[in-house]
Amino acid sequence: MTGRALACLLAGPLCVLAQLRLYVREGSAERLIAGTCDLGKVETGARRELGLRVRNSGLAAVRLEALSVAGVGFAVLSNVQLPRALEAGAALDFAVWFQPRAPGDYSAVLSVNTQSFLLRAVAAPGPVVWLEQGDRREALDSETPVGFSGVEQGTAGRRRFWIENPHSVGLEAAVSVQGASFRGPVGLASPVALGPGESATFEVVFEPSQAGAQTGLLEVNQRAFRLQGTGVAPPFPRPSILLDPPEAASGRNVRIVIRLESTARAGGSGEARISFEPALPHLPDDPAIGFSAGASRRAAFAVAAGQDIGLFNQLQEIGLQTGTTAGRITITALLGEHREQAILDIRPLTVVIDSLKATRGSFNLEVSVSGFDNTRSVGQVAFSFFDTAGQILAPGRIAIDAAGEFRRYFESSSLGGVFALRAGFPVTGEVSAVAAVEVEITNSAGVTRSERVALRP
Amino acid sequence: MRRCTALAVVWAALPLADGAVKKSPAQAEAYATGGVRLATPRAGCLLDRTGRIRWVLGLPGSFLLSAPSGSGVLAAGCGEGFAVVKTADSLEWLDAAGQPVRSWPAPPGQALFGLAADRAEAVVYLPETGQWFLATEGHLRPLPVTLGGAEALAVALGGDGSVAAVVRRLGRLWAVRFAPDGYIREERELAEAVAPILIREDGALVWGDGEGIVIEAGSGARRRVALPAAPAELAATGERGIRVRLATGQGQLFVRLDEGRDEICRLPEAGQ
Repeated sequence: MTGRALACLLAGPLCVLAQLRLYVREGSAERLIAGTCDLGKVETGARRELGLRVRNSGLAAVRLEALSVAGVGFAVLSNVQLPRALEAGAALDFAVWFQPRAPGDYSAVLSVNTQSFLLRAVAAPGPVVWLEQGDRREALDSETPVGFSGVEQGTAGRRRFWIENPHSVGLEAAVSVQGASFRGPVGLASPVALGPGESATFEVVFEPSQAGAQTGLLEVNQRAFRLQGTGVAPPFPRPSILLDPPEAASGRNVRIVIRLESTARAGGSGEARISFEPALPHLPDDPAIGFSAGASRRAAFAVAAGQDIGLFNQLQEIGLQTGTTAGRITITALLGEHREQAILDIRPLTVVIDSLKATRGSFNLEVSVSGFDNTRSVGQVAFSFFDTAGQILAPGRIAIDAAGEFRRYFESSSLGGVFALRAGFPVTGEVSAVAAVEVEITNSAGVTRSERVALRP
Repeated sequence: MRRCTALAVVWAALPLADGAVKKSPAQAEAYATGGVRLATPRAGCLLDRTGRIRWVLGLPGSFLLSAPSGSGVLAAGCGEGFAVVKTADSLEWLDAAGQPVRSWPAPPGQALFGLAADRAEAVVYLPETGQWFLATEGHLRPLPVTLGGAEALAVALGGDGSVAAVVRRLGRLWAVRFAPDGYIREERELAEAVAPILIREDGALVWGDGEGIVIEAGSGARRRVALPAAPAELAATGERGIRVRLATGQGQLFVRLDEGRDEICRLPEAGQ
């Protein structure tokens, strides 16, 4: 390496010149430029860019000190700070571009250190493209996108363009629009012939099929202008929460339907939520209060375009369990900007007896009661047994203070106010003579008396 | 049995009522023990996708699923305080907490269960071998019941110890009731019933009928209950309840049959 560098220094500039070569980049390949490079025919206003590569083909490092172009309409694009050393075999990519303002033949000199290359191009007459901005027009360049902001799905946003031939000769303009949500040119048959000084107008329409940013392209001959639009979901109609039954107590199943005040113009999704506030300070939350489909307090629903009802997993309704704790259940429907609520007030009730069974054993009776106390305040439980003639049996009404037992049970239960109670009673005499039983349960809301239930063998 | 044992403890621990007892004309006297036992009501169980059972806790309008218990369960029958489950190679008796109390070796395959509504007993039918058993907490007793090659679709255990079954033979459905000694008490053809079908301990039949179920009482009286979708599976739950698994994955329902007021509510999903 040291020997090679010394040889280069002795050879001086000739060595440097011989080492740097200029190529045109063509995909993954490269083509050597021998003195002249032709950029071809470019319309006025359009820009032609040519990718180039300078490579150190020698065996020693080279210091790249100058990379410039001199000529009207030409420029160099490079990210590299000069001077910079190029190792043996190393390459540096850059580009030159040509953007003519007037028709004619153009040339420029590209300098790489002390080497010079000739760049040539021909500028053909091209149209000027204008964008209508209110009551004025603005000449378009390829760098600045044309915006269509905030266009609601299902509607259309329009921008008006002008193409003008400012030249003394006629030209032909081919206009096309690319992009799924863009349409045009509207009002123009492309290609259009424009005589000297003539102009034509057309529109590009943005019709977003979905919400969010979308892009397109307006092409006028060799020039391309970026189109940018933002689709906006249309506002959802206001949802209302329909409850069936509209008023409910504990231990019920309520059907919930989300109905929209009109048909939705676009599809989307919303969410139904449940919150619960116990009526009494000592009552904890009741996990059984929720959507029965998933035992949760949130449920997503879908709204389809053209429909006026929310679908919960394809179903037009969802069930709500009211649980067994007194309090206020708030159902909230969230859809777009809307937040609607419905309230179910679950009042404190006397104990609800869901089932009562009594069976006879050989020397005993067993009574089973299942039900719920949505205040969790059971105090006394009383049993009355009757004979086949309907007469109450001794010792008469048997009252048990069950407050402590129930309090301990509810403290350990995580299922609201439900309970299954069993009580056993030894019997002297003929057990078969005991024909029926009644049960009374007292809580803070009052006393519940069961029906008289026949004993089973 | 577990329940009776517990009650006996209560009686032994608590004094009987005092002597202020008067004889009734029927010569019967009832005494309070002074104590009650409280528990969470249950409405059967579900099998989740991983072969574990989840108790359905609570009452209509307030159901929740318990934490999963058991593993590798192929079929389950759940009473109020127990469950009988079939795994690949055993029959197991689980307590209310889902813990195994007894286990018996069993041939592979499914099982059908019919639970007594008011006691901890279950009839067990093993289709692979055609064996019948009466299961209790501590015992598994073979039953001398044979179906003669018919396919059992549902089984039930009657209050008197009889065994009822709905069987399919020669493409037709039959309701059969066996005495505990294996003799046939009754056999009748079910001309209109179709699967899924369920036989209850009182002999009532329930079968699918489009988007609904038909309930035929032992007396022959029929009524129909509409459902939100066609039923795919029916299971008895307690004395009045039916668990219905709806077709096309639309979840499960609890249907309680009451005179003049049937109640339908959706059960929580077992999920994983």
